Amino acid sequence: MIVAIIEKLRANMKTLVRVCMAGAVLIGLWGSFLVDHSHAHTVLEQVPLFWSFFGIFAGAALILVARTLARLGIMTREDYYDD
Amino acid sequence: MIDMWLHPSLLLIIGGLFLPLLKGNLRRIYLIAVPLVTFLYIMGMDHGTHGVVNFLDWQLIFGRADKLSMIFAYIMSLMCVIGTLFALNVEEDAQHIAAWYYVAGSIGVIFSGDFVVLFLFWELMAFASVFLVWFRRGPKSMATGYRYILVHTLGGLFLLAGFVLRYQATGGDLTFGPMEVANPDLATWLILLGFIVNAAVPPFHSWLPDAYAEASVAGAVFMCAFTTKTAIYVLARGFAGMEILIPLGAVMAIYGVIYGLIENDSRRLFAWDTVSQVGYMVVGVGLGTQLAINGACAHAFAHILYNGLLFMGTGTVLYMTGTAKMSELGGLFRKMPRTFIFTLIGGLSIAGLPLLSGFVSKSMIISAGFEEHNLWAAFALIVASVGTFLIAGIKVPYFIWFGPDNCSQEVREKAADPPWNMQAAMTVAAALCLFIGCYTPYLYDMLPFAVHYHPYSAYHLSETLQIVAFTGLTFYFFRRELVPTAHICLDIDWFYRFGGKGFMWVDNNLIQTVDNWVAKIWQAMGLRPLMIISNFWSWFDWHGIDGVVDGIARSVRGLGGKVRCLQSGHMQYNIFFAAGMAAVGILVLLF
Repeated sequence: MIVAIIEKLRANMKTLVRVCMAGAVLIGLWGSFLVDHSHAHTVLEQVPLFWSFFGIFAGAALILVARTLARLGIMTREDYYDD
Repeated sequence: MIDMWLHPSLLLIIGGLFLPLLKGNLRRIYLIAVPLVTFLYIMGMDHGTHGVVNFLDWQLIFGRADKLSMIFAYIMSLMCVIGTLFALNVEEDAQHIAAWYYVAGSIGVIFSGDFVVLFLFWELMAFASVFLVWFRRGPKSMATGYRYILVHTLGGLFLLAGFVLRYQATGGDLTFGPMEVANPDLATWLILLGFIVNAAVPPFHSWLPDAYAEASVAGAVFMCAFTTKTAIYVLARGFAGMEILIPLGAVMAIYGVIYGLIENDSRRLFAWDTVSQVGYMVVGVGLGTQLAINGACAHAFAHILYNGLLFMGTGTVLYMTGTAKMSELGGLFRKMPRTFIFTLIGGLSIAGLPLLSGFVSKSMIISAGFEEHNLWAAFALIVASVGTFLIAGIKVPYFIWFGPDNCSQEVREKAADPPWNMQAAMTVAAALCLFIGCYTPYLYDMLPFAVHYHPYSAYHLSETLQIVAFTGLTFYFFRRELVPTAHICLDIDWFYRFGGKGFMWVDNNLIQTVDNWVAKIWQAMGLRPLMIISNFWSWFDWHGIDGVVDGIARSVRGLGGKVRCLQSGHMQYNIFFAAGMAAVGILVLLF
């Protein structure tokens, strides 16, 4: 059953991606405009879509830092310590 | 005075001794029964101080049972049941015994009330767990195990030096309790160092990804649960509110996910994620408030389960296919669908998705950070959550079960869901992740302080869902940057690996050369004159001493021969010589 569901989702990959994107936007709008912000920790969080942008920028920044470190030589060949 | 309380660690230690005597189904039943009895015994244990032993001038406390120790002992013993169930098909008795002794060490530390008992069980943990690395019997296992034990020996020495200094400074107080975190002295710093080595706080963290990735399949499931969380327990007990732990924990949380993003080996990736998640707990201990300590304990509890599940999932991939490297996997959802679901539940739990355990535990620490106005620490932990979702929630499931199919023919043929016991263990762990996420009183009622925290507020849900949704989109757009390739990542262990190699080079080239020269100089200037002097004394002995002694002997022998001539056997001659000698004697005396 698991495999059948996954196969079906993979067969409709474009639709799946569009649904996910639409879902993300809806979540962002719901979180920004329909949810009570009185429990926010900081003033920054009052900015609409703050946590949506936080997710994008934090994710992108982490990937960028990791890739930069990798290119600076952190990533190396598998037999590096075997010599 | 010894009260008749049975230490739960003894159940595992003695239980391990009898394991080699059993075979077949009886052995399998016994394997489950021993940790299960230990778990049930701990569940039924009364709060209070048990197992007080007067030894020499010390009062040793083996059984301090309070809310803080009980929640850790509960989850440790529960994980021992799950881990042993997962390892049920391991035929090697020694591997089970090592795992049980390791858990016994952890439970012993948790119940210890003084530094002597703590140290004994601390070392039991280190020396039992190293066998879980060596039992992998891979080409790197031996060296990895030695690195692991050397780092933990260093940590143990810090701890030993710390509590000996404290013993001296306090005039003999060995009690382990809250330390002087406001004005720490040298002893306190050394004890802290000993603890943070086991908590894998940078720069003492490299042993963790090094050892966990090289441990045996079942060994890694145990290792990922006990050492770091036992360290969190002792930190929560002794160092709650020590502010240096806040930046250290925040750095850990980010550091782990950055390395996880570029890691290829899935088990090593989750080891990096362990560093990151333990960072949350270290921050919680550093904040030191009731909410933060509750958060650290809750997150340790939840982490043991979902981390165990993740190591079971990726360990299963290694066990079934022979590799855990994502660059050699991909597209396995048809072959290992159940393992995928279990690993996904673990990955989403660690990422803190609603209805799963991470959501109700890590948010307590982040909220405590905001409450204490440590905004940068709280935001750093949320950034780490984003990274965790990227690596555990998406990267591993995607590149092992979907993504480009890099499997060799052999891997593809071998890939399948694992034996029933491994699936059963993953089912239990996954069910608990869901149960904790859905029914918070189960976990919250065990926490050391009363809980006034509600994770399922609309704002918290919207915050988490926005982060998750848009982090997912970030992965989609950047997925090519995260494609795993055959490589390793250099880390702090580079320094001691090359430090070790450097030491061997200095030893082989410099010290050995100096040693050779000293030997030659000694031969030329020491041995040769000594031989000449020895030869002289040999000659002198032979010709001088022996000559004098031999000469006297020859003279005595000659004189004896002459005197013998005087002994003719005739009485008259004898009287004549005697009288003659007497006369000569008298004349000599007179004149």
